[in-house]
Amino acid sequence: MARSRLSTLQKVKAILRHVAPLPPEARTAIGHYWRSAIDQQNMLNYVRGHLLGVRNLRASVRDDYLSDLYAMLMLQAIETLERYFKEVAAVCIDFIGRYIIDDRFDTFRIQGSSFAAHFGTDTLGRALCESSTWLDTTTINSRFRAILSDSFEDGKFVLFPNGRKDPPADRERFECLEIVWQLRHTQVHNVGVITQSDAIKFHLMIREPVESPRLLVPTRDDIGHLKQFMDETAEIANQRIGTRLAELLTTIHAGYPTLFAPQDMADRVTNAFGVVLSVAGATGVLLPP
Amino acid sequence: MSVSNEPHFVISTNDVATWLERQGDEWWTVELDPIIGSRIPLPGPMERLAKFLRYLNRPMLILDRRPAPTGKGEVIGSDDLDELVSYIGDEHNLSAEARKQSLWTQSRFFDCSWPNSTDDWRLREDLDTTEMIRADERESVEEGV
Repeated sequence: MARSRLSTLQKVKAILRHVAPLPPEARTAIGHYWRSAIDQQNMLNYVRGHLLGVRNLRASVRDDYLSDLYAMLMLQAIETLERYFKEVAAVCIDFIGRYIIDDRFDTFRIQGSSFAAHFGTDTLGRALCESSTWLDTTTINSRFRAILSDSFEDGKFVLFPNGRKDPPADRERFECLEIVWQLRHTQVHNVGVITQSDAIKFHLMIREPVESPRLLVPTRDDIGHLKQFMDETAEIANQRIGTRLAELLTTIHAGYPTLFAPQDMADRVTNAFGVVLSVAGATGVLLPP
Repeated sequence: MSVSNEPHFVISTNDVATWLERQGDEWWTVELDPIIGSRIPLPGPMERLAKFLRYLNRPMLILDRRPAPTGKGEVIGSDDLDELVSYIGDEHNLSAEARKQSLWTQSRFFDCSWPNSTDDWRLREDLDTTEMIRADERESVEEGV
């Protein structure tokens, strides 16, 4: 029986009442990342393990559905890394926003039509970062360079180096991230279909021909390898961004020593990043979980 | 029901680390734990988890899942854990045939919680990831990387 339009509308509206509080680990960007990444992997093992253990399941049907699950999890894993960049950028802005009078935040633009959405935002960083996408390594690099530059300077910080003289491991990570963002694009915009234009981009990225049109069918190991790469990337990014933020706060403190107490700031930065960081000679104390 | 309301023992995270270090080089993970799961990347090598458990250095509860459980919150040590370990395949009463299909069902685990918490979590061996890592290592050796 067909539902009335009103009934369907009410049901769709009701989705927004089916919510849960954020987990406590969402207090830090990296903690939020770790928890989501582990949960996704555990969920995959749980469902896959159960399905493989059920007798009399037709293997081809089971494997088809598992492939769909892997594709969904691949996307979710990539989105989790994107969220990490967004959240950690917001954290950086919240730490330095009150001490900055140059134009570094001009790179983040809030459209007039979306002002209303930001009135309830609890921090300046979130208001500035939430509406941007963080799905391009060059853009991610340029935003963090701007946020973490010394006052009235262009900045030299490069989160993911890709220059000819940079270490091969860094260049490889940059290339890998570019592939990851393109995989996301294929999954989000074409539900996993590698279109001709996708194939051309992939071809240039991996320097091998990529067939099209083809459906992306990631394996369980693909998801595992992707998770390993992204875990390493999040860990490296967290250490680099935290260290650079601590350096910047040290520079700000040197120019105006009464702005903040170094020990208090070092403790706050350390606990926001989950790694021991030093500000103006004071070493942060990482609180036990 | 949570671990704290069921038959359980209390053990130091240091002792769990000691037990893990005796188990070989499998990878381990935690499920649904807010403390460990938000601090280190997992699944990970046994050493990573053992190191973090030593850093935590605090008591934790382990469910007594034996057919005739006796745990009433007594403090135990690393030597007692062999007797308390469970297998995913046992939990789901899977046949030997079904267990052969999935490394997940052959994985060992403990159901755990933190004192004064009703949120349970699981410490689990991750044989799927262990196998993937070993296959990667074999491939690297074959390719001379």
